[in-house]
Amino acid sequence: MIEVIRPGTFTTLQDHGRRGYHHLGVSPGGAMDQVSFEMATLLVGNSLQTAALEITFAGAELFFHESAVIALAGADLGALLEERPVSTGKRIYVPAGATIRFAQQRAGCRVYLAVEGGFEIPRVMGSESTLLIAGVGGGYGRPLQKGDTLAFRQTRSTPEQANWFIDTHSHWSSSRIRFWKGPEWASFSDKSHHHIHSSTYHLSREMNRMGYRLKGPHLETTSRSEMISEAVTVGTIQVPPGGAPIILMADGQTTGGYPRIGQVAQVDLPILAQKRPGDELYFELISLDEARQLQQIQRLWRNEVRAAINWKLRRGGTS
Amino acid sequence: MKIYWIAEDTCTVKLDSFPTAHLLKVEEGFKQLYAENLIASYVTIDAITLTFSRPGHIQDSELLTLVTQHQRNEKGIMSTSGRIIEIPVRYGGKEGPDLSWVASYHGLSEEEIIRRHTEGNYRVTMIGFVPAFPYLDGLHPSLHTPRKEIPTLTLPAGSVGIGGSQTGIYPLASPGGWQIIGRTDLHLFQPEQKTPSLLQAGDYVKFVQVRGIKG
Repeated sequence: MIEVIRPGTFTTLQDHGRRGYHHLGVSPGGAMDQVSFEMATLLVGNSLQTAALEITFAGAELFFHESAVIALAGADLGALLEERPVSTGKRIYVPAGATIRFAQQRAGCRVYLAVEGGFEIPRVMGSESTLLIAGVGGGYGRPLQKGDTLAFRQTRSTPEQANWFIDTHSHWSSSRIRFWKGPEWASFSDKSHHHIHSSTYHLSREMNRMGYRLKGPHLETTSRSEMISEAVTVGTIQVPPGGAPIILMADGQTTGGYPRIGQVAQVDLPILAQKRPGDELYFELISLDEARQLQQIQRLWRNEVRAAINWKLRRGGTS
Repeated sequence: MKIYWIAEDTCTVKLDSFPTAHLLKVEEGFKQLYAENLIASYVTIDAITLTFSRPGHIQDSELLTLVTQHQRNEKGIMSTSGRIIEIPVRYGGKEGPDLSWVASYHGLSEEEIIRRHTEGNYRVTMIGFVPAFPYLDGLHPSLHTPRKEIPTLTLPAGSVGIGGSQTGIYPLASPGGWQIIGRTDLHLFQPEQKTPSLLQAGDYVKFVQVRGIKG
């Protein structure tokens, strides 16, 4: 069991996501940085349907009542195990009575903490992810608070010391966001097309699991016509009347009525997931075909990482 | 008609001025045509959105052909088929705090607003935005009412309101800008159920006035 000593800014449980409920207004949710989540999960031998902690910004502190094997992947939030630094991308044995805290914002925004076997929480609509808007899932149906406890599905008493690690940073350490033209691309002014190609945008403070509002040159459509709401997805770049673009994220709404200038390539969603307020972004226009090719390349790379981790785990996990 | 990809594996087929019943029929056609390649589909107000396991194999022309075929056969479709779900509503009072404002805005009595609201046959044109939120078509024009200038910060789950030309039910406690005329005890979002939304696109909704105090 772990106990939350300090919840930090925002900590929830997230897995691969809640698929197949879009038609009922339920967005996929799940880990914002699916690649880092997958790495942490594979390192402890879990399935993608098993939730990990998604820890946003530094500040969280967790007490282990029992020993466990864990892995961290994604942001570097200065993790300290009993005040000694621990790295991401590695199997870590945590003895009973130890504390992990996230002391410092170094790189990225979200780190995933997976525990071997997972946490003892019920599945809601096929997923263990916290569905914040409805207050269900993820055990508590809300961000974790001081004093919350999460039981382990399995406990581990034999210590181990892994001497290998994987890189869980390079897939998000960029500021380039590739996108293809959204359904309403043609309704935007030439100036807006130019801006999104060539300007730098910054993440505003209005950024959460639902969406990110960007700061930068405003975008505008040439005519103000009322749109009928229709389907939007994770990565949709929509522009409300004020002109500041919003990128919808994992917990975003399922339908929307604002003009959509673009759609972010899925492979670049982890980059967005790891950005912090004030961070810089620039957009690069690609085609849908290119986005699909990038997705295919990333899929092959993820399979290789998976195969490498599984090979190591079969040899005993530690060396 | 327009087709556009809103994700690497997901496209929206926009069919202007197709009634919901026809959209559901075309969606059925897509399900048969693409079988296991189609992993998810749903209708919105004037479009169908499709998610494929092998999106690279999908031709726009194929999608178009199916829609054209449907247009030829559309005469046979009954646009009135669909489940009818009754929503018991306590109108006015603390649970419908804006009923009196809506009545005075239209120069009608509260009873008359309730009568007209319960008289309507409302079609669910889509479930969207947030979990289980129904978009309802069919509000009588005499009840169209402007939204509030400043949204209410927290509306309780089950609040029934009017916003512009729409009426609807808030499935979850949330902020909202609609004029709230009543409340229902029905749970629209039921995450523990096999189908977590009480309403589905294509259903009909009938509001029924009930009296008494909650509990």
